[in-house]
Amino acid sequence: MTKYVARRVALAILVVAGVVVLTFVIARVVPGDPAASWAGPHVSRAELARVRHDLGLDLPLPEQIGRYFAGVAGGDWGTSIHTHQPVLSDLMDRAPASIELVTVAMLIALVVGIPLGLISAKWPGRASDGIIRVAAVLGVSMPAFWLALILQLLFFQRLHLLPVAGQYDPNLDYTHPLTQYTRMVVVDALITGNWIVLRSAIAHLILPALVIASYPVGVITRMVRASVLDTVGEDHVRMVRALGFPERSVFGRFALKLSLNPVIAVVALVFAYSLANTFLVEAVFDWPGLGSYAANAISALDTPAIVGVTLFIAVVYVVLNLAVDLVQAYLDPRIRLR
Amino acid sequence: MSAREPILSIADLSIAFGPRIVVTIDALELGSGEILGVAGESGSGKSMTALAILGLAGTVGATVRGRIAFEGRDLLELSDRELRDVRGRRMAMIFQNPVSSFNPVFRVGDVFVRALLLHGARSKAEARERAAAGLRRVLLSPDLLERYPHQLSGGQAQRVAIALALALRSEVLLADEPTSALDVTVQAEILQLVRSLRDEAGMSVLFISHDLAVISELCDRIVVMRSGVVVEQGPASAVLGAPEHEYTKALVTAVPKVGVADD
Amino acid sequence: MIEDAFARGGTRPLAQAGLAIRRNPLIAVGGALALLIVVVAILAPAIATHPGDAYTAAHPTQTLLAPSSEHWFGTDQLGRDVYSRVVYGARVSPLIAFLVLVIACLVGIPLGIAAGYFGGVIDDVLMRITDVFLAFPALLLALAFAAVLKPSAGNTTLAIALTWWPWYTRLIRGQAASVAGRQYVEAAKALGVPHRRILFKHILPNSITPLIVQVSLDVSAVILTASALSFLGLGAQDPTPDWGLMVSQGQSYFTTQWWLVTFPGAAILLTAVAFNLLGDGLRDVLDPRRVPNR
Repeated sequence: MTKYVARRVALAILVVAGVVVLTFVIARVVPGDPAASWAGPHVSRAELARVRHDLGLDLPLPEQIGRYFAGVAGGDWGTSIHTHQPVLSDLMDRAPASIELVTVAMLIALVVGIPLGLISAKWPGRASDGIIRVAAVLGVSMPAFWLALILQLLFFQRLHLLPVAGQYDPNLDYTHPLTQYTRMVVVDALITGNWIVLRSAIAHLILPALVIASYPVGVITRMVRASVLDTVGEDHVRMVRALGFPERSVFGRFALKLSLNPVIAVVALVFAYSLANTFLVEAVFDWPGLGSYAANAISALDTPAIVGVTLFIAVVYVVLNLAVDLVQAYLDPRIRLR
Repeated sequence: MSAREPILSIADLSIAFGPRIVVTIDALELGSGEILGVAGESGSGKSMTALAILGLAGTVGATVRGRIAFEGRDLLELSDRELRDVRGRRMAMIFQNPVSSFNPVFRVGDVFVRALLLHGARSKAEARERAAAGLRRVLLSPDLLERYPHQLSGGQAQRVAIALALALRSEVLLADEPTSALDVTVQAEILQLVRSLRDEAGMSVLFISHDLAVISELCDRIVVMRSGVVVEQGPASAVLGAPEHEYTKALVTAVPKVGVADD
Repeated sequence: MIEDAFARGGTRPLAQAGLAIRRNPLIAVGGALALLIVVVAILAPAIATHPGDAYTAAHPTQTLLAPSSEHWFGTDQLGRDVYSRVVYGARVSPLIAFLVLVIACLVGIPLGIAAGYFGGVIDDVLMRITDVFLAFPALLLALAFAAVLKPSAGNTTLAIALTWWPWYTRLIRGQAASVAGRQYVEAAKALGVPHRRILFKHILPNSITPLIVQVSLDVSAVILTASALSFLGLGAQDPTPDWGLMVSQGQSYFTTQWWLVTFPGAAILLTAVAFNLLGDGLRDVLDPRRVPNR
């Protein structure tokens, strides 16, 4: 186990280094002349040379990469052209809102996806299976930005049921000011006992979280179905049936626990995927997270910010994957006790 | 040996996948305290029959018709609930691959204790005690309950499965090729154990195997199946000593040293 | 023997396909929808009611009309017929998806074969490179590439292809490595059969089935990614009738003119559903042992 952990951590560090190099390539090599795009269209040659020198573009490539590495490692992720703030501090400001949104979406996905997958696998070929499979395919095929707009139209414009912009009603700032600790509104409202804001925050969360959850629900449902179906053919399932366990525990306990490993793996993958999906959804719901930050950066051609967000999410992804591998290894006695 | 009261008797049984009938058995009886060998090559319907007896044929998509009487009650008439009380509690089953017949992410003791709680143990402590006693009876240390399946050898895992049947005080053991995946010395130990189950605990055993040598060594009576049909049955010595059916003859001559059973 | 009982079904490909469709009738639905989309793309000029509106036409007097018998899906902010633009859209993102997958295969397959067949340092280096690419969610990396390139349909294609090839390198590498270790390939190597011959005769044919399955499953993902890039303004530009772009442009009018967003988005959904169902079906038919999930 120790050896496995060490190997896995080393690999993750290597991948993060690679990720930094790749973002360097995206920021500095792909655009052709980053100095020109940095300085804007109408600048003199001398001006351009100065910008190039400021950005270190006149240095040999290895040295440029070295400086970039040192910058990233030291917390200097460049300055946003759009907000004029250090990119890293922008990201730290924005990340909690996105993480809150995606976490809620993942919880929805697990609570909905696991039972659907189990029901589907329990009676394969029945009508319930058919309906669930179609729903799952719809989930993974859904263009998130479109679903966001449609739900907004339906629940806000037509039915006036749910709010659609921001994290909570801003008027509450006057009547029930929220003390921010984590910058996740639901969490802050919970720990400070601010129930009015909590209610408003939950109402604001529902639609964007549902949109983000669409893909994960589909993926998790399909995953659970496939892995339970794989499992039920195995000897140990026949064994627990032969021991007289009711079908409820054959599926809900024995087969499910074995199927959870692949589900955990897919959850991490889908979490990162969903962070990227916030780019399409947050702007629609005016959600002050990484996604709307990235969308703004894209329309402002703010390369440092775009690259920063990309790097940030990739690093989150690598760390999540590492965590999942370690949790899985721990959960699976076949690896843990090797 | 022929005068035994049958504990399990099958009549007019047919098992089908959709329109295709894979097993038809006119009559088959397992006497109380008897070890009945079911021989035949793979695909002959032996395992399917065992699953049908436990009412599990439906889980692989098969339909069963006919009558399977257990102590006079037709199992096919029982409700799901009643059938679950028979499964495990009255009849236990062991399988060909003992290690893979335990869920890899549960400690074997966990399955053991849950099964005992399901079938009458009044408390976790009592279940643990009975599980430990079961393991001691198959000459294993109760410490093995703390292990995961992959930490057991094939022989140990099969003993644990048998101990489970003992602890549940099952009356019938359905053994589906229980020794085929084990090496020869371990095989002999398991056969010895199965024999002692009958001799000491009075269990009736339906022993399924493709291996005539094993069957001849262990069983009182033999049923030979081929393509879902019983082609021959009778006392072990008679069937193996003077096979009547061509298929049985072929099976007997294919095995080098099938002797007459030792009883 | 339970397995035997199941295995006695037909082994001929046609019979298998028939069986797969009966077991999973959704394949037929997916196949029919996919075919429909291809037909619509090819016959767009005949199917569209206002073919001229697909690109540069503008009708200032007919802007933002609600759906009617003349304009089935209404008209957009420039007075163009939304139905015709949606029809022509079948030529945009599905084509991008096709090109992305072709490029990704052309890059990914040779690298995968090289890694799996030769092993050693080549393998290590290539696998670490794919590790890095796969450390990004696909949408994110494609977006980063697209953001630093000039927005256009061609650059969207390039950006997504840059993101996609490592999947195929991984897939083919696994196949090639397992085939390369087999005895007959070892024997061929020992006999001095040229590498090229071994690659084409043994390794490529063995890798093709899982590749087809994966590619068919990826069509939807690429279409969704391409549409997302267009939605963010990083893809095809007006007047191209790209579905993602149409949704993006319709946003500003959405609250009152719902049709601007609804129909192009539904087209994306329908296309993605079609290829997802088809991919699932192909996997059932061609590769019963399931391709590893992403």
